[in-house]
Amino acid sequence: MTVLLVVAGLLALLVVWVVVTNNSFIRARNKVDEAWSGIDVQLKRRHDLVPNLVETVKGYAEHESATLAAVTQARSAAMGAGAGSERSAAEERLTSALDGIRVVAEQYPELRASQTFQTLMAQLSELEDQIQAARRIFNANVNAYNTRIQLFPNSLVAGGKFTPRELFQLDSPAERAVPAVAF
Amino acid sequence: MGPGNANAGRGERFRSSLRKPGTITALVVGAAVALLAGAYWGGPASALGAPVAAVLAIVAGAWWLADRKAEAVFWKHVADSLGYTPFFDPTALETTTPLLHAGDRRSWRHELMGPLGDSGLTARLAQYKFDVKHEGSKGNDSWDSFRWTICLIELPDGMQMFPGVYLREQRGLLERLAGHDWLRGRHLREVELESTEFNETYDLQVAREQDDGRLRELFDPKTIVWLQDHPLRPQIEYRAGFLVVYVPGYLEDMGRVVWLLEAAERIAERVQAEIGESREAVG
Repeated sequence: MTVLLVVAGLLALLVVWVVVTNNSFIRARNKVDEAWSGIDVQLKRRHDLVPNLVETVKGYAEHESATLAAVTQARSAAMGAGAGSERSAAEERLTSALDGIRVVAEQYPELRASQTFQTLMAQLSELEDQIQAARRIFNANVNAYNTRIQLFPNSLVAGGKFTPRELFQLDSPAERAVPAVAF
Repeated sequence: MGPGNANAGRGERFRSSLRKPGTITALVVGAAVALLAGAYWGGPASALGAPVAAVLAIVAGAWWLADRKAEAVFWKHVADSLGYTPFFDPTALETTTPLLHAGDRRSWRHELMGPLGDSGLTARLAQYKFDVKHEGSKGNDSWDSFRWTICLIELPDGMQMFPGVYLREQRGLLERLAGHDWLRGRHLREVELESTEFNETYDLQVAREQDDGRLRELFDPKTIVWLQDHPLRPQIEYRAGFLVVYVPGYLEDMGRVVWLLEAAERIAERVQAEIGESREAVG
C-alpha cells in the first residue's frame, strides 16, 4: 500500500511538472509571436513610408530612376515575402535599397535641403532604430524560447509540438562591412 | 572644478578640523572633565575610561561634521553646475504619487529645482526617504528606512491618457518579504510587455482603466531596450500628471545624478511625444 502511494505521489508530481513545463513553453512561444508582431508593425510603417520618399526624391532627382525602381521593387518584394529567412532577406534588400537613396541625396543639395525630404528621412531613421530594437527583443525571446525547449529534460515535454524558431537577421551590408583603415 | 562626489574632501576637512584650536580645546577640556567626573562618580576604572570615551565622541562628532560639510559642498556644486536652486516645500509633493506617499514617515534632503536639460521642463531633484513602522508587542516600535533619489516632473497633459503607470525593478523573494510594497491595495493590474528580458527586469503595473494600446505606444521597442540597458535601471511612477523617475539609494556622485536627470528627460520626452501624437490624431 505504501509503495502504491509513493508511486501515485511520484506520478502526480510528474504530471504537475509536465503541465507546468508545457505552460511555460506556451508562454515563451506567445512572447516570441508578440515580439514578432512588434517587428511587423515597424516594418509595415517603413513600407508605408517608402512611396512618399520615392515621390519626394523623384521630384528633385529624375535621373535616378534606377535607384528609385530598386527601392520600389525591394518594397514590393518585402511586402510579399513570407516569414522567416525569406522575410529577413527581403527586408535586408529594402534596407540596402534605401541606403541608395541616401547616396543619391548626397548628389542633390536641393533635395537634401527639402523640408519634406528631411522629415521623411528623420522618420525613416526613427523607424530603423525601432526595427533594430524590436529585432533585438524578438531575437532575445527566440533565444529564451529555444533554450527552454531544447534543454533536457524539457525537450522530452517539447517533443515535436514545440519547434525552435529562427532568429530575425536584418543587418545592412554597410553595417556588416569592416571599416577599412588606411594611413 | 568642484567635488565629483559627496565624500570628496571629507578626509581633509576632518583632519583640518582636528587641528583647529577649538577642537583641541574641546578634546582637552572634554577629557579633563570626563576624567574628573569619572573619578568622582565611578572610581579608578571610570576615571580612565571616561576620557577615552569623551575623546572618541568628540572625534566622531568632528567626522560627522566633516561628512555633512562635504555633502553640502557637493550638492551646492551640483546645483551650480546644473543651474538648479533649492526648493523648500517637498511635503507638497507627498500627495502626488504612491512612492512619495509611502510608509509612515517621510523625509527629504538636498531638494533642488531647475531646468530638465533642453526639454523646457522643470525638474525637482531630491533625496527622499520613507520609514515603515513596526509595532512591537511591548511598545518597542522599530522603523525600517527606504532611501531613494528622485526626479519629479510635472506633465499634466498626460493625466487622462495615463491615469497610473508604475514601473519598478523586479524584486527578489527576500526583498518582497522584507520590503514594503507601497503599491499594494491600489487596485492596479500587472502588464507584461513583449520583451521577456524586460519582464524579468521590471514589474509594470497600471491603473485598471489604462488603455493598453497607449501603454504599448509609450513603451515602444526603443524605450524597452533603453530601459533594459540603462545602468541605473530607472524606475517610473506617473500619476495625476506627476512623473517621478527614481532609483534606490541616495546618489552621491555627479555622474550618476546627471544620468538620472538624463533618464528623466528621456522618459518625460517620451510621454510628451505620446501626448503630441494623440493630439495630432484627434486634431
